[in-house]
Formats: sequence, structure tokens, C-alpha cells
Amino acid sequence: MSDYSIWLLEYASQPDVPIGDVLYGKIDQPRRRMPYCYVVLQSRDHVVMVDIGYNHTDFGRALAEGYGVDHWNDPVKVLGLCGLHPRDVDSIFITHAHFDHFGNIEAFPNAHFYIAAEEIDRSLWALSLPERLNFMTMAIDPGDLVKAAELARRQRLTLIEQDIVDALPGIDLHIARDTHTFASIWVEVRNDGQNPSEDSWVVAGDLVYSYDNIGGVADGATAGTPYHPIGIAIGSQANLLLTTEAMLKAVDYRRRRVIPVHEEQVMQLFPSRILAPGLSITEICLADGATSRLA
Amino acid sequence: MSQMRGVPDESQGTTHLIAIRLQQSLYTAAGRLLSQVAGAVLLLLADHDRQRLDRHLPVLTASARNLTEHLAATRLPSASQQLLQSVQERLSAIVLWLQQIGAPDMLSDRDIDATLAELQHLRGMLISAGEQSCQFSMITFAAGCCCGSHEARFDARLATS
Repeated sequence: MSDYSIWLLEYASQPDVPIGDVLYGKIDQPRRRMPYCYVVLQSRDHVVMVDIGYNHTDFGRALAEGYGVDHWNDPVKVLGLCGLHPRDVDSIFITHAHFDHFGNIEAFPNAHFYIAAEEIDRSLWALSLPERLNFMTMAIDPGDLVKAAELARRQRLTLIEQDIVDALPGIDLHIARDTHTFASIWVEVRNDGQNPSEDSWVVAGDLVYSYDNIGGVADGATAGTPYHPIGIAIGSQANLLLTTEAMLKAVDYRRRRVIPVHEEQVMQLFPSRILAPGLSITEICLADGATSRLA
Repeated sequence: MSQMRGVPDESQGTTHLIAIRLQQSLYTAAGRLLSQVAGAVLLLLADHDRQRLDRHLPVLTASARNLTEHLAATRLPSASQQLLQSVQERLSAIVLWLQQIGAPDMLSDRDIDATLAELQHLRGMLISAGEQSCQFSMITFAAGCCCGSHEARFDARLATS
């Protein structure tokens, strides 16, 4: 029995990423294409997103161009791939405050947003530091903070202080402090509604870029290669590795159940439809009674 | 050795570069102050822990003061000077407002809406000023992002200007 359908939706891509960004300290592999994706979870009662991408205007566009992101697609078009519209989304979990995860708030007029309080709090501290320390805040769009303040005004923003069990039925939020950012969130979907669950999925945000970060795709605690942390982080590599272990434990070391949002290989491991550069849908699983969106 | 027409000599180019970098730096400071103030308003409205906001207020005040001093000590093209002065003054007014208010439930809807509208307006000012006055997306620097490709593009523009 599965409560949620899960789709990975690609909305943009970065065609030429240095391997050292994906795998910390690695230099002996070719550059990679990095899809930019968000995740949709749909149950009988909820349409949920994990992250929302960015809006390709103003700051968002400038930042995206700076990072070499292209083929951006509007969420109306992207969510249309699974038969949804942005106004259908009722809950959004923001894994971290970077522009490509927290941008485009205005596109989702009916959603309630969740982000870690500490992610905002410590970003503000970092923004007060001298310009030479910009690395800590370089992917933050000031416009997103202005828009988030407006969400708060309308009581559509919850700042979370600690891990939450059942933020929505069967969905747990875990805070990973001092990792990719000050307080990133990873999302655990217990798809049988049980706790502990035998049908868990993890949406990793940017705590994992690639299956290579989690030792490949083989099942089992002793399978695969040792974990290798992502290359872009302002926290500690040790914390990233320990968070990886917590995520893997949550899915009983079934690595394909950790969903990275910048990994092209997901589209080969699960049924998918690639429509254009930067535009694809991957069907991770279907809820009971739900129909495939790949037909 | 003759100078090619339209190409500044080395000293002119260096002076131009320094002036643009200085301008960037001020836009960066203004953008970061805007982010800080917006984040503080966010905490005011969404955070149950008022102490968290209170801890930021002295830092915010210092950031606003730094921008004031930085602006006073720098000679910019008058349009940029006026715009940044205006942004700084208006953000400082919001910081003052944040310091003066008590519990969030004592806030009036009118005050909150006016503050949020002001932040949006200031964001728009910085975006259009960045694009118009500097011929490239200055706001990227205001956002605190001086990543390599922008630097390269910026330098390329300078070289051809």
C-alpha cells in the first residue's frame, strides 16, 4: 500500500559541471550534465512539493546565468507533465535557501511553506559579514527573502526548529545542520504510513547530488563504495557523511530510494519521459489507485 | 607608440576598473542590507522566538551604519550616489522600526503591509539601477554572488567598453 505518488520533475539543467562540485576533491573524471529538479508528492488529500526551483527573471536569472544553468521551464509547463498546476500545490518543503530551491515563491499561490528557522537565522548572520566572506551566501537571492517575508505576513510560512514527524501524514522532516548549508532539510516519505516504515523514500535536496555520493545504487549496508560527500558545502564534510548515513538508514540501505535532484541517472533507473533539454518527468512510484503520467 | 582610437590607455582603464569595482562593492552592500532587513522582517512575522530577531538588530544597525559611512567616503556617479543613499536611508528606517516595535501581535496590518511594499520597491530599485547604470547584472553582485563567469563577463565588457 502506497499513500503518495512521487515524481521527479526536471525544470532546467546545467550542462557542464566540474566533477569537483559533485564529488568533494575529485578531479580525475569528466564534467557532467546536472539536471535541476524538484519533487512532487501526491496523495488523495495533498499535493506537496519538495523545493520549487527558481524564476528565470531578475536576481534568479542573473544567478542562474552565473552558474551556467539553462533550458529553464516554467512550473506551469513542468507540473503539467504530471497533470497538475502550481495552484494545486498545498504544501512545500524547502530543503534550503538557495535560489534554485527557494525561488519562484509567487508561482505557488495556495501553498504553505516550510523551511528551517536556523537556515534563515544563520544566513542573516552570514549576510552581515564582510564581502570577502560571500561564499556562505552566494546562492541566496535577496528577492526570495522579501517574498518569504510576504508569505510570513499571510501566515503561509512555518519556520521549523527541529525534526518533525508527520509534518503531513507519513512525511517527516529532518534538519541537517552545517552541511550543504546552515540548516538543510531532507524529507522522509513513509509511504505505508507506518513508523518504522518498510516503504520509505528520501528526498535529499542538495545533501546528495549524485548516487556516487551515497556509494552507488546497490542495496545493503555493506554494498557499494564508501560515501563521498558533495563538493559544495559551507558546513562540514563529516556532517554530510553522517547525514548520508541517516538517510540511507531510513531507507534500510536501499540506495535507489534516496532521490537526488541533480542526478541524471535517476532517469535511467526509473521510468521517465524526456521531452526536451531541461524538461523531463521521472515516475519514482505510484500511490494505490493512481495512474501513470508517462503514457 | 600611438594609442588605438577608442581604447583607453592603461591608466584610464585602471581608474575605470577601480571606479566600477567600488560601485559594485556599494551595490553589494546595499543588496546584502536589503536581504538582512527582509530576513529580519521574516523572523518578526514567522518566528516564535523573538530573541532571535533581537539578536540580529545590533548587527543590522551596524550594517546600515557601515553602508552610510561607505557611501559618505566614496564618490560615485551622482545617479548611483542618490539611489544608494535613498536605499540606505529607507532600509535604515525599517531597521529603526524593527527596533521600536514590541511584540509582533502589537503590529498594525497597515505598518506591516507598508514595510513589505517598501522592501519590494527597494528590491526593484536595485535591480533596475544595476541593469541600467552598469550595463550588466549588477544585482548579481548585490546578491553576494561574484562567481567566476560573471567576473569574466564583467571584465570582458570592461575591455570592450
